[in-house]
Amino acid sequence: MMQLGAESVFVGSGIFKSEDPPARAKAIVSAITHFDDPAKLAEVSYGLQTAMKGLDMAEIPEEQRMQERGW
Amino acid sequence: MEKGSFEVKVGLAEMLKGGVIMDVTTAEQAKIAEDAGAVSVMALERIPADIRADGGIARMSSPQVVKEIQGNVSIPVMAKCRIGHFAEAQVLESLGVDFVDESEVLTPADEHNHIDKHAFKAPFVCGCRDLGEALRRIGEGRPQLCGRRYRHACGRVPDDAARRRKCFRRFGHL
Repeated sequence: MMQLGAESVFVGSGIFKSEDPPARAKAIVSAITHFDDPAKLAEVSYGLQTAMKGLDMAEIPEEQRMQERGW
Repeated sequence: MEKGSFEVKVGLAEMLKGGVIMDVTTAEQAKIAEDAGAVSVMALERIPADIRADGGIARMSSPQVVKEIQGNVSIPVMAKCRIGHFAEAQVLESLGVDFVDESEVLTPADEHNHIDKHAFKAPFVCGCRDLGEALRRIGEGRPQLCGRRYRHACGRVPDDAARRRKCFRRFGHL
């Protein structure tokens, strides 16, 4: 997202639904700081436990997709 | 410079550049986020994954929790209100939150109108799907925008990337 031009990143359930919130939160901050350095990105992802489970968008019915709200 | 003017609101949003804003539901989580280097925290009642799992109506962040979080961290605190629910936004503003997020993650309160954000001193953030929506939000007085889909506990990247590419490309044309 940063390489696509985002200026900052919101992280929702990703941190506190993972197995190791403090470590993952730190890793995410480092990843945003070093978004254009793949070696550094690999380094900050070492030693993390399981990430949040997540859902495939295709499995969520259209009427339940929050991003379609608003006008 | 006048407090709450558009310029001040844009300046506040500029301060978040390059950083991460993390969803938190308790003062303890907010502290973890701050210690990890988050530039801001978003106080909310339940994180999106739980809102999706629990179903029912999702409302604004609890004022008590917002206060506890504000008391526990020194970084800016944002809080969510329902789309169109200006009374919730007024309460959050009175609590002194740094940004109000008029969020599609919560159950919309008005199917036709978003909040008139010019009426507030607090700055707002909001999601957008495309350029038209972004411009409507800015027209209502919202200085900070974020691409949607990233916030909905889905974790699927292609849709998000495609939408973001589309949004950013069109912002680039302006």
